Amino acid sequence: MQAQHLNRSTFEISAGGGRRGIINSLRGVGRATITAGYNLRINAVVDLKVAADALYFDKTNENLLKSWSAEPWAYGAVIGSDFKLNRIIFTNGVGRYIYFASVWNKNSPNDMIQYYTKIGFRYLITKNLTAGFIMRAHRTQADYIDFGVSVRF
Amino acid sequence: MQLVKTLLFCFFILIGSTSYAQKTHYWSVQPTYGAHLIPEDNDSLIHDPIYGVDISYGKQLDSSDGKWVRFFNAKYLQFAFIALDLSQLRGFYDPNPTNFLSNYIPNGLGQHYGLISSAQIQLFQIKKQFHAYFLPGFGISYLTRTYFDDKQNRFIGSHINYTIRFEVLLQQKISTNWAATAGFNGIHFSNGGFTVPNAGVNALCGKVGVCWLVPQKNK
Repeated sequence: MQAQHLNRSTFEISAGGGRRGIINSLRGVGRATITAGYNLRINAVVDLKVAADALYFDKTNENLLKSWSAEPWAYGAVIGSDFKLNRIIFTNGVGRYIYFASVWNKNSPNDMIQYYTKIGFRYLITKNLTAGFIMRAHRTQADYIDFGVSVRF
Repeated sequence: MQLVKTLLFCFFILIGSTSYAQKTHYWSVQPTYGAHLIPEDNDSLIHDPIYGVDISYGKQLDSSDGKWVRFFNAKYLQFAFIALDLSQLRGFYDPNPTNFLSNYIPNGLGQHYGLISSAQIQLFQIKKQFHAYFLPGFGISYLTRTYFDDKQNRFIGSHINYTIRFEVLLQQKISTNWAATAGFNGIHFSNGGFTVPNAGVNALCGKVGVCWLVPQKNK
């Protein structure tokens, strides 16, 4: 089974969703991320990435409003890298919020959350299509695991 | 269940992504001893003893397995089963209500069983007898006790978790087919916020053991 990555820099659009648990409950609420970016090919193994994220926060549960975003959408810019291990892609990045109506930040102006990290794996299904999961985190605290697909062209 | 299925899918995809020609492989067994890492104010980072065992299988890699193998100097793809006794992992209590790491669990966290897939990257070797490796690994694990079994446990909210492990492994050949091993690793497991609370568990473990280098068959 040979890798079939495109041997050039690529544009990438991805979409995915996941679940954030609710405290003291087995239930959760939805999260989603839509990402558009550019992958700069360094060599056959490494790509550097720049991207823009649109992050969706399900507001159906009031508990969640108290801890994270007061509005359904937040936006961020991400830099990172991909390591291509045959068809497995180890992807990672650091994002900075461009717009985030964080309730935490409002209540703690001296301890604001401005950055987030992304780390995960994708599987190359075809040369243009990947699927996998990425964990998003604030500092050392995981936010949610995003399951999704991406198109590279 | 979606989280479980997807993690299993990714783990077995990772296993299946390498071609399996006839190459050297190994089995190793390594008892493990470690400690829970948690930063308590004005006190040690290290708490609570952890005992366990690590049973590993390594499959040799070469350049036919992909360009990443040469790029990272990866020598083996390792699959490990780890069992950790976390019954003495009790955390600590801090009366400060803003310290979210304050969790004291008199009954401990139970047992932890994990499957981890790692790339075994060679750092250096001395006369082909002594090898030093770095192993970044990812996998899934099962924990017997969660927050929903013990409401004082704010470390973990789910039985199924993902596991990340970074390990340094030293291997000294003692005969043609046997080697002595020693190593240490940092391990983290949590559920990525799928079920809350999810502070996660971090541990630092050391291990020693033996490794059987399975003789290569003539083709």
